[in-house]
Amino acid sequence: MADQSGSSARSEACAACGKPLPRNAPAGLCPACLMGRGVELMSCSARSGSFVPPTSDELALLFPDFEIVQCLGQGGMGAVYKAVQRELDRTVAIKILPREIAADAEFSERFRREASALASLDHPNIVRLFDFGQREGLAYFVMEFVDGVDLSRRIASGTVPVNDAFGIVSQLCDALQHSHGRGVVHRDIKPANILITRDGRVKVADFGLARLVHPGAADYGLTRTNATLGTPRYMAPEQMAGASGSDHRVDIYALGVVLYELLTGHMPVGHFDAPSEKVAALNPRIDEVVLRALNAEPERRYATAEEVKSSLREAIERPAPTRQEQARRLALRVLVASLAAAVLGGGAVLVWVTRSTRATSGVTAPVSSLALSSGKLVALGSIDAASFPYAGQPALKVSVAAARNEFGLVLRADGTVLAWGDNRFGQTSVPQGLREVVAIAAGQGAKSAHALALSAGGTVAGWGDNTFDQATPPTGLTGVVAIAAGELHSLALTREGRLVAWGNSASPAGVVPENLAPANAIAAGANFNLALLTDGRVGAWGLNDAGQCRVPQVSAQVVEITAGSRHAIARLDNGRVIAWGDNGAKQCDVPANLPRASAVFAGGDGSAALDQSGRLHVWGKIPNGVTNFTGRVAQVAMGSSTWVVIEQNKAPTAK
Amino acid sequence: MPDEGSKADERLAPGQFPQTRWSVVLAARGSNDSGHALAALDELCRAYWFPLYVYIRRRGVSPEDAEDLTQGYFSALIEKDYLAQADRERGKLRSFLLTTLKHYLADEWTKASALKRGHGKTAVSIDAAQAEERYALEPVDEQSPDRLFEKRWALTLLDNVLEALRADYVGSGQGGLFDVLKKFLAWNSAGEAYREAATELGMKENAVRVAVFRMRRRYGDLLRAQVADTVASSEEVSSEVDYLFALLRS
Repeated sequence: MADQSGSSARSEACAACGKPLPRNAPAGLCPACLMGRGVELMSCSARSGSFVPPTSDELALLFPDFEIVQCLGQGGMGAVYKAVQRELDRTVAIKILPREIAADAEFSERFRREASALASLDHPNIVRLFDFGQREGLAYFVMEFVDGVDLSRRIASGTVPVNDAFGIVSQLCDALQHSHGRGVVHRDIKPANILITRDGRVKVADFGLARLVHPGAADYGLTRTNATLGTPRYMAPEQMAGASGSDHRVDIYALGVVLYELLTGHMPVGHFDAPSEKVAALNPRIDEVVLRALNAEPERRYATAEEVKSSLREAIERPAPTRQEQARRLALRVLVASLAAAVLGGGAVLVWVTRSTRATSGVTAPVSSLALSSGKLVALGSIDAASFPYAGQPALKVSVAAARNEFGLVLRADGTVLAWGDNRFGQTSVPQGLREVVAIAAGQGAKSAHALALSAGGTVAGWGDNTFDQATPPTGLTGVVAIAAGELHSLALTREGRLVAWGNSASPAGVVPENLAPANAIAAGANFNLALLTDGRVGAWGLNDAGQCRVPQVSAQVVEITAGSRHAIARLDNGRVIAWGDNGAKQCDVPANLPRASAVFAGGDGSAALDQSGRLHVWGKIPNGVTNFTGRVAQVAMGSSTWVVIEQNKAPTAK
Repeated sequence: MPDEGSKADERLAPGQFPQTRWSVVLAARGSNDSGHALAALDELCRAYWFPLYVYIRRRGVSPEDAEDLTQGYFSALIEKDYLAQADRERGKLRSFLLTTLKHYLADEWTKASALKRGHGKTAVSIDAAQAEERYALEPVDEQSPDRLFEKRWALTLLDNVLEALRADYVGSGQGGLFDVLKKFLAWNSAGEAYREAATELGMKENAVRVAVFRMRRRYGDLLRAQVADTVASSEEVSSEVDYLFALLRS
């Protein structure tokens, strides 16, 4: 070893690991630490499927003309860093797009075209794009650095006074008017993309990025996992349904959603109230502006952002209307609201959209949306009529507890909740005044006896067995977009993708792993949990005695996850279904010739999948009568001995 | 081995694992065109003879006999068809060498015959004096010969990698840089260490960070290549590194 300095016996210890340094240590360094570094370096590059953003180190190499200051954040659309452009001594933001996107062969051409269009946008309310390009396979943008906060943080700290809201929205209109005029549609307008500087200037970010990152799926404005929960709430119906030719009016719709949220602090979901009904002393003239922007049909929406701004200004400047006028308006409001409700449904939080596959494969996957699924209830299995009181009634969602003492919940189109079944622990005593519910969850597992409901406003209510505090969500929990209930624990997902668990913390399912990456969806089994992360991976933790936490490797994207008591099912974007975990009742034996699935369900020891025409395919532990059911299904909920199906009224509105 | 430093350079192509060297040897078993395989095996032996020497010595053999046996083993390896046994030890050169060495030693001792040196075929040139000097530095605490072999294997691997890395830097006139920054290969560093290094090298601190980053990356590439040479397929690299790490930690 050329580096061996003399033969001085070293009896030192390694400063890092404390092990004694061998006398013939390689290059005089601690071999354990060297090999440890090796382990790190081996695993770094082996990771696939997730976007590992470059470290500041690596970025410094790629951008020697910049001084990288720090990483500002990271999401499905890329990672952003604050940097100083040396030559011009100007502070900028560098956005790096996920590597796999730039790997696509047609990407470069598209990138240049789109980025050029974005760079041509020069407006005080649009984040300026200075430069773009590709270096060593990484596509990047150099943009104006905005020193401020994004609107979602502003909203989180409370509603905004009308004049402030107008100030923000009118600048937003200016930005949109400018870009629409140049043929650029944003497609992903949402509070996270609206920045506000210290002096109150609005800057809209990420223009057109959605289309760049996902061509073909551009109209969905989704991240790779195709199940983004935050963004769909801002998506216009025609955008969600994937209609080609959705135009700049999708931005107008999103503008309406943002305005509603600013004024009321709530999302316009389900059967939503007009802003003046939610906020005291709010000028009702504003309702019309908001509702028109939110019209489900693009033709009836405002045609330009400019119009929205002027209408809004007018509405604010004119005095509140007389009672007669208000009566007339009421009729109009109800009509518009119910139109919106019919489209969005009460289950907007549970919208799963599959993205169309690329043109090369020649196959376009149709879009299915559970939100469009209302129908009537049918109970199958060992239940007798008296035990299931709601047969034949219309419902939006149903949840049945796969518990020893069965009980279940029904969510109706008007946002109210009904319950039936065992009430030993008060699990069917739905709290009074529970309204605007968008999601329900009955506990799963032999001992479960609690239930949860999620309101449109993002708060969670729980009732029933509370021995382990599983029915009491943590105080101050807000911004929730999804809920799930296990045997003795509960799980919630916030708008930012954070998971919160409460209940039996002695079980690993009752605790959320530290540093869990942000998630788009959750599911709970009896004693284990699943999370569909924003990077497309599925995380599972909790009891693993039957391998229910051992998620198999797949090559396609997971778009939906669901859990039974001790097994799990996932639906991939190519329509395939995979299952893992306990197979004692063959609940993981996915039928060999299962057609492309549009939805999957699991509960107890049963499994089911819907094909494109709404037919139900079932396997696992199935109660009598289920296999004979031939109706078109919108949803099925599996209890221990009863399955409840929501049978579709008519042909599904999904293509 | 040390004199093979420059050879190590061209052998270790960064980030490229068309076919690992050990896999070449395995693939060539029984085929007529074994020249390629023999050359590969030859190279591998040159890199890893020392762990075998260590094993033999630890078995209680005198230095002279150990030297003979090491030479003899490599001759036998190439002449005879030890590779037929490689089926069971398919995964790793490390296990293959140790197992076949044990068989060889057992054979030799049962025969109790005169030890043969390689007949004109110097499979490996062993500097006997240096071998013994190095052996003297091996730890004396009670460890099984097998264990010692494996640890020595891991260290030899690291030796090879670092030697190749150093040769890289020296080759491009950055030998001084290597000497000062090599400690960052093992350590995770606080800002202070970077500052000190920057002063010592007359560079800016940021430039030092960049240089360290590059060195670590290159180290990783060389390590991967080196390990890949000793396993049957590149998928096994990660697990082999994990194994060796656990070994060195214990």
